[in-house]
Amino acid sequence: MILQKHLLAFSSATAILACLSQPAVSAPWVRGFVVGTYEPAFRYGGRTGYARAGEIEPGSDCIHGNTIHFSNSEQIRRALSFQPWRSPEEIKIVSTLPGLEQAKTPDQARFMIWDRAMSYRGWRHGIETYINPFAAQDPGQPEVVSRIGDGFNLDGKIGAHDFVSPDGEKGIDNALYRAWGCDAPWRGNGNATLDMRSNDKMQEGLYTMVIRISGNQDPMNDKDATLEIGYSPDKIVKDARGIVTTDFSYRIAKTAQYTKMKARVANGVVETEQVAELHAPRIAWFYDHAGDAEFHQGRIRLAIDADGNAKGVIGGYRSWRDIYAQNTFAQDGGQQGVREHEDGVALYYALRRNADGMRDSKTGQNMGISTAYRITAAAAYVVDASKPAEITALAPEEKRREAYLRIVNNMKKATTTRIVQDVTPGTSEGAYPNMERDITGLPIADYLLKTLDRPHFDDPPGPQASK
Amino acid sequence: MKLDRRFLLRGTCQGALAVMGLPFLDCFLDNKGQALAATGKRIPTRFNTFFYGLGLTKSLWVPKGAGRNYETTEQLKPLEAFKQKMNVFSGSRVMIDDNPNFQHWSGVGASATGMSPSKNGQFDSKTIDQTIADVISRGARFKSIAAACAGDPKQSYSSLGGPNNLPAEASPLSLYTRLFGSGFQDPSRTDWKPNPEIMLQQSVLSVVAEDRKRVTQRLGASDQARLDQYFTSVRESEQQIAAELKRPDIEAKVEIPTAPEEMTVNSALPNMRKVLPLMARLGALALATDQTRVFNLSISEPGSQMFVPGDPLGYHQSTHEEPLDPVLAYQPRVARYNVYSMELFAAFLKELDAIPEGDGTLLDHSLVYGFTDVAFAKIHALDGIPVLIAGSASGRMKTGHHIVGEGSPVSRVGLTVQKAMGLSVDSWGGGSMETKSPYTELLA
Repeated sequence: MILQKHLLAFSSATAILACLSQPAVSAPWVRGFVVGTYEPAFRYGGRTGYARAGEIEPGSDCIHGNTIHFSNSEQIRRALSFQPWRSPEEIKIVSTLPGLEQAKTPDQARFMIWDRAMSYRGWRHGIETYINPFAAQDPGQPEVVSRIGDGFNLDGKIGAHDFVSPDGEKGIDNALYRAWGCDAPWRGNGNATLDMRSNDKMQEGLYTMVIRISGNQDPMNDKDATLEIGYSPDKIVKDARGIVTTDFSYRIAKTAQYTKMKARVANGVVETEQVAELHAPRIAWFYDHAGDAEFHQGRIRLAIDADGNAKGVIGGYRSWRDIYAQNTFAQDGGQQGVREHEDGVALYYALRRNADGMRDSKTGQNMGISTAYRITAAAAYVVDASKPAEITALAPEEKRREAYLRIVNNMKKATTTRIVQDVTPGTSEGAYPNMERDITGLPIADYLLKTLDRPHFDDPPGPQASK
Repeated sequence: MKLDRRFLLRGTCQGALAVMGLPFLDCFLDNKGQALAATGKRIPTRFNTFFYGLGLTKSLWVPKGAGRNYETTEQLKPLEAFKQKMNVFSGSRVMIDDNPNFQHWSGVGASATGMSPSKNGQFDSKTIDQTIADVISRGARFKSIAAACAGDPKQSYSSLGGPNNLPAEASPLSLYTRLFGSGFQDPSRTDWKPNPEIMLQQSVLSVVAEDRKRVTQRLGASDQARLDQYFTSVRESEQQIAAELKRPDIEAKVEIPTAPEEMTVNSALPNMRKVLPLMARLGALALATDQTRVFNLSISEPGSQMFVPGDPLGYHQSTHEEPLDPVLAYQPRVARYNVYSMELFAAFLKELDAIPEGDGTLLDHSLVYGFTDVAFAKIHALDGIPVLIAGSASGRMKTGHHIVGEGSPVSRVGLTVQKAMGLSVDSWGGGSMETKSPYTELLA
């Protein structure tokens, strides 16, 4: 096992690090990091320590607080009322669920009914919403109104909608923050649900991201440094407190998620060049949607502290369809929507509206959106593997990954051609008969079975995977 | 000189009397390693599990101090009456290695088998209760019994491994019928005699046993292995039958009640508060009358669907939908549900502790392994997964402690439990959670 403190580290790196406390000298140097937290760079604008029961904290970022989609009967009624083909009776029954208390597990029944109903909001019956978000009306997504934001000036311009960085730099491109910054599971002051969840899963071993910086001058000031970023096949090591441990060794895998960039170091702050394609692992909390994040015109900034740990930002333009898919199909859109109070359709339109890069010369459409992701990283020994290292594939989960890729492809096809695509089997989006099972005993069960859409497959029909 | 567990070494030191206790020695037990010789009657040590879903609220559950004098926290208050009879384990970890994190299942599998499961909904090996039952259940009518207070037979965390989960009795009536219905003979009755139907079954199996040897000799190795597996279960049946032909020599003086009424059994908290004490009492009576020595009680599925009528979210949905209060830094509604789980655990312990037995209670001659599926349910975190142990296993387990796991694998708790139950085992678990380090400070 490679993760043995000190023992398997580069002997040369040890020698180099020993020199770091010495006055600046020109000598080869290497610093490594394992990323411990990785989340969208959304600036929370609420007051810290403010809470009033039942209220969503508004702030300079989101003046009405975060989203409350699907959080109660009234929100469901509103969402259903966008579909003209639903009768008033259906809207009333599905939103209020009379007799719900007679279900064996009422909360699960409510959850599954609303999940199913929210998954079919197209302009006609039978259109699955999250694969075909264009076919549903835009329910509206509160967007960030603040002028302050983290990230990079990716296009070199100062636009009217750009942010100003906390230290005064103008022209910051982070349209993802504008579009999604008020989304409930991603908004918080260190306690956003999906930030916590994805970081927990990363630290638990879902994936490992490592960074290695090297140069030949002074580690604090080097005009000709190199930064490498990529996956590691080694799992993150945590200490007894559950904190990422420093100074362990990790191999860096030179796979699709590996990128090597030129960098400059000034007073301990590392700034990379802007590269056409920056590949890095993407935020995930399930195996099937983990993978490659492609940043176009990508950059990285890292500030290294006295302990050798680092904080920084990864930025660039990303395909907004990829971002939509990675969020929505982590579970299924309806499930995540009802549970986390976010609406995938609203996010789809917000992304499309705020897209600001990767212009398609044929269509004139922006295929990408500017993004910035915040990272913290612990000092580590990042070493080349003695033989090519691959990311461990989890055989039992590979079918899920294949299903995930199929549904993403269908969504991309649907949203680019505007031709309605089918539900793909094997994903949570096609889970059946989940709702049918959970509504047993409800007095409105028959009505719901006749009224609500359900996944249909040509071959084979029947139960599908769910998370 | 009679040596028993109350024996003290005595002497004088500078004119003052000095006394010193002895550790729990094997000579306190009878030659079967089961009975307290001083009591004169055989009192086997029993094993129980208690499963509850959705973990804890760390800031309200985990005691601040470690060791014996820890301060009871808000979420452990329902268990205050049993503080000196139980141990609290915090800060344990589940390492999933190269398996996926099956939401709400990986923690269950790891706590019950000491290894992270490779399949959702299945245990990769025999669960801890079955491992222990293999050793302690000989002579009991049932190797183990499982009961589910929320009314779903699938809510059993007792398994022979793989798809072989052992279903739970899903209502007080079905549990009663299984334990005290047809085939039950009250060992406290003076007119106890072997059941003729059981005697008939025994003779049939004896005839088969003769033929078995002849058949086995003519088979190839793989078939022999298959047949051996089959006959293992036959042997277990034989042992069960033998147990039923012998009057249990019980210490507790208990009265078997009449059969309970049919009642609503589901995840509604008010119903569970009625159902659990009934099921716990029946389980306790089964242990006290030596019908079984392993009793598994669950109150939910992983990802508990427990709900308070009128609460539109219930427990599981609350863990996901309720935001963290920015000042309190926890989910107030979820925290209340956490406490309900602890109250139900306390109700179980109360029933075990209510049966006097020898010089203590049934709880004193038991060990209860209370486990759950996650730590922080909102994100399905496995770091800090809690475990509760109650009972002293007839004096083999020291109690009253808060053990801080500091990231140790949760399998250490399971290994400690097995050692306290008298199993000859040096390691337990698999993968990164394989451990040879029990919490020795708890072993008497």
